[in-house]
Amino acid sequence: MGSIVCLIVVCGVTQMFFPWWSMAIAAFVVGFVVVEGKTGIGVFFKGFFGVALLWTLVATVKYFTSSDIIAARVSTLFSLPHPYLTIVISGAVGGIIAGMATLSGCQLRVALLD
Amino acid sequence: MKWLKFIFSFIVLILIVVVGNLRIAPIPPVAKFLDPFHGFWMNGSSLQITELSLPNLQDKVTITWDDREVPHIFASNEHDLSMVQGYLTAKYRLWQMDILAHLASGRLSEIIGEKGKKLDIENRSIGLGYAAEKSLEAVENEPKIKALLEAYSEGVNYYIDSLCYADYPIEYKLLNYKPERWNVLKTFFVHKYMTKSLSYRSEDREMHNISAAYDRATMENLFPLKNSTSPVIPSERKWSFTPHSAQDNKNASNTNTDEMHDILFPNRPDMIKGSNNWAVSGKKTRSGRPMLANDPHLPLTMPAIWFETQLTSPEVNVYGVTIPGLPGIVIGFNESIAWGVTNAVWDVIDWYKIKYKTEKKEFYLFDDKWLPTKKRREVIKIRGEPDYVLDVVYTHHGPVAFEEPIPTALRWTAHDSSLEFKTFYTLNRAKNYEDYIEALKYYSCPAQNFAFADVNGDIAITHHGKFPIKPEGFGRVFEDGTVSSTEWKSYVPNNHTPHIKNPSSNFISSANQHPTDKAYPYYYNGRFEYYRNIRINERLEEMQQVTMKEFNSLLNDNYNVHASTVLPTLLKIVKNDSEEGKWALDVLKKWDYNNDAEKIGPSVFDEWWSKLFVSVWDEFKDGKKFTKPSWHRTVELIVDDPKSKWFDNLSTQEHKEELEELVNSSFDATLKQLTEEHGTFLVENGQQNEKWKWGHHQGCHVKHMMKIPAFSRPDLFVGGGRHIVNATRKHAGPSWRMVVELTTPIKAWGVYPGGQSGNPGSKHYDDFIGKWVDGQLYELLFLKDAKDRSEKMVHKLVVGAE
Repeated sequence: MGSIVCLIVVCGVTQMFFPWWSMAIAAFVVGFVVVEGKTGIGVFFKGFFGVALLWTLVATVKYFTSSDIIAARVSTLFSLPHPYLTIVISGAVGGIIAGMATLSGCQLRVALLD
Repeated sequence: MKWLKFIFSFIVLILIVVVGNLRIAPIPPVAKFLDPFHGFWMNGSSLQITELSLPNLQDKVTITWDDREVPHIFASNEHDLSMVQGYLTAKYRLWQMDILAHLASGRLSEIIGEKGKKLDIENRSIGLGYAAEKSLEAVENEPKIKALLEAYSEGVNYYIDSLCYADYPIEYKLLNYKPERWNVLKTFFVHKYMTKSLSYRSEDREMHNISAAYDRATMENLFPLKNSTSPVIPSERKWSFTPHSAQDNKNASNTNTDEMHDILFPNRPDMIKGSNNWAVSGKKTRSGRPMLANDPHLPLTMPAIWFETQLTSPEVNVYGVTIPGLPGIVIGFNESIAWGVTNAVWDVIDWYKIKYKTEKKEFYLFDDKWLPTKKRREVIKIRGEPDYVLDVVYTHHGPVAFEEPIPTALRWTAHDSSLEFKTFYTLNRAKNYEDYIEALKYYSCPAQNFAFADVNGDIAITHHGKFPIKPEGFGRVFEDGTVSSTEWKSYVPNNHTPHIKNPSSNFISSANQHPTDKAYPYYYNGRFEYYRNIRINERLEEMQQVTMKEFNSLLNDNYNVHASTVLPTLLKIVKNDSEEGKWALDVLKKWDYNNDAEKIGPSVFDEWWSKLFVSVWDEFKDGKKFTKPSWHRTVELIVDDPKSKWFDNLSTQEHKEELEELVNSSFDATLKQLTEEHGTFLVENGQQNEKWKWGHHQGCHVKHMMKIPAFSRPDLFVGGGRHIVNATRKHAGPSWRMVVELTTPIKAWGVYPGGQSGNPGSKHYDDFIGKWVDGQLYELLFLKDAKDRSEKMVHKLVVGAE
């Protein structure tokens, strides 16, 4: 749980100042420094849930404050059956990339230290 | 093993990051686009503007916004006014102005790749860049205008410089590219884009082919020049001046051969969309003051072509619309005058056949001498492909726009140096009729019908532009480019262009028709409107006690003059005993000739007419070589000459078709098509099929400029049609409707199909469309000062030096 919170905070702050891919670097660093896990899958999902939660949360806030019209148009653009799916897909895409980044970071630490 | 695991995951990570950042057309860079911190999520409806990053303002500027998001800008000097206009236009319409500049400069391929190449080659071959540079040179001698163009540019750039990726309009994110800084040349590119759209129309090459396939007399018979019954300038106008002569220009028709030529980039005037303007004097209005109306018809796009603003400084207080990228107001009104424009169709293009000395194209023959050509290297950068290099040859006539099948140089007034911006600058500040006439002096291309009305009670209209003086019949086909005797040598002087002030009818109007009757001393040609003007002038004739309501009803007039002249004849000829046919004919017999959205008559008639028209002119079906005669000429043949040889189809040599056969077969085909497209005419309970209604059958689609369906407004249920005052068609229509009453204070109304914001995520992206579909107008809030009508204003901002 702690590592997920850590991911949300570190990735969130990083993304406020840097482009989207900075999130992958941040997740990598968090993976290297913080995240523990018995299996690769477990580490991946910690990374995944951390950033998926972050992106979903931010997208949801945007959706309900200012971006409902554009989300509806984007969902039409990609033939999605419901605008909410733009939130889900955004979260999933961020999650997959962060999951891989966290996993790589964690694996680098293991390779270096063990 | 541990290292292997890491390396494997790391490679996968790099791969997905790279792919997430990459556009694989048509998919945008997925992760970059979906990122809620910077991606499309940031393109929501923007909050009210609380600051402008404009460090270079000379003085304080106040901006107030009304509830339709129209900015009313109050500056202390013209420099600041222009700069803030540039900034705000970019704020609302950056992508649009950027893409317009790219389109005109033949740089679309840089954004959309190979798909843009054909258009880029065309725009470079016809010399739009050359034309824009000429305009930029001309403005060098006009320091005041130049300073304002520069201030506008600076304003746009301050906005662009303030952006980071998250702020980019969504089109940049979808297509994955960056906005480019603005400059004055780009403003001229936007102007040339409109110039192309309005004046790059000529059928000389098609007329050549028709003359070659038949003979010149046939061409002139099918495409007669002077046939308007209701010209812009009424016949009461006497032309007291002595016309300048065409000098030694000779009619070069004899030099034409009977060779046919394929036309690679046709620029046919049947693209006319149908603009109208008119004004009435105070004698016809309830207020006792003149009124003016204008609805320029253009291809309808999202974002809309027009942007609405009020511009105020001590020198000027003007309200109206302009095209993003063009400073000032193009159509509008100030405290003293109102003006509106429609396209003038007087042909300003001729094609000259060129003879090169060798294949190197370094010299061309002119009056027995070999003159050197100039070559302009055009490098088209194509996204994801190697550059395409094109050397366009320039002669003194103009660019050789087509090298195949024979080199042909384009002579077009858009290539001459001119000062259209001075016209709009002067009109924006005009106080009376004299200022209006002064403003027009600087105007060349695209030629327009400038309608005018002022608070002093004057109304006027001028068919104005730079018009070459030619001998009768000249320039209808290719001309010989090797001799000076065929060149344009002189132009209709400013005070000789078709013009009338305060006619006895108490109204003026234009609708792309002939500017004059036969008495006008100068020869001109063009493919002019025949029908709309008749309807407008009939209705204006009758109108008394005019208010906004009457003018708006005329703007929305759906009466189909064309149908009224031909349908009775067709109905006499047609025979159809099928169940469906009987119903359809019954609808047509009862139809009142109004192309209203909820009527079925116009759907049946329009399809029938289109099919009949195509089958009559099967001789000219090869669009690469020919163009077809006008609807009006076709109606003349059907009504007055039903035995004409043109009704015989080429494909059936044995059998000689007659009009009757064409009428019947096209009617059968119409029923078949409508039934296939929409289902049978009658549905359950004997009800008429809704889908046959004109508003569904033709309808109107306002498409996004990049044809992105999710950003478009399809299937608008509206009436109108080609050659109808409300000339709304599937992809074109009234791009701005305006009515101005020259009372004190001035009252005005307007609407355009779109919204102020170019952002598809804003509620102001398309919020005017409902009103436009309903044929209603908004009241335009023309403020005296920044405090005026504050109850109607939703937001106010003061920026700049204290």
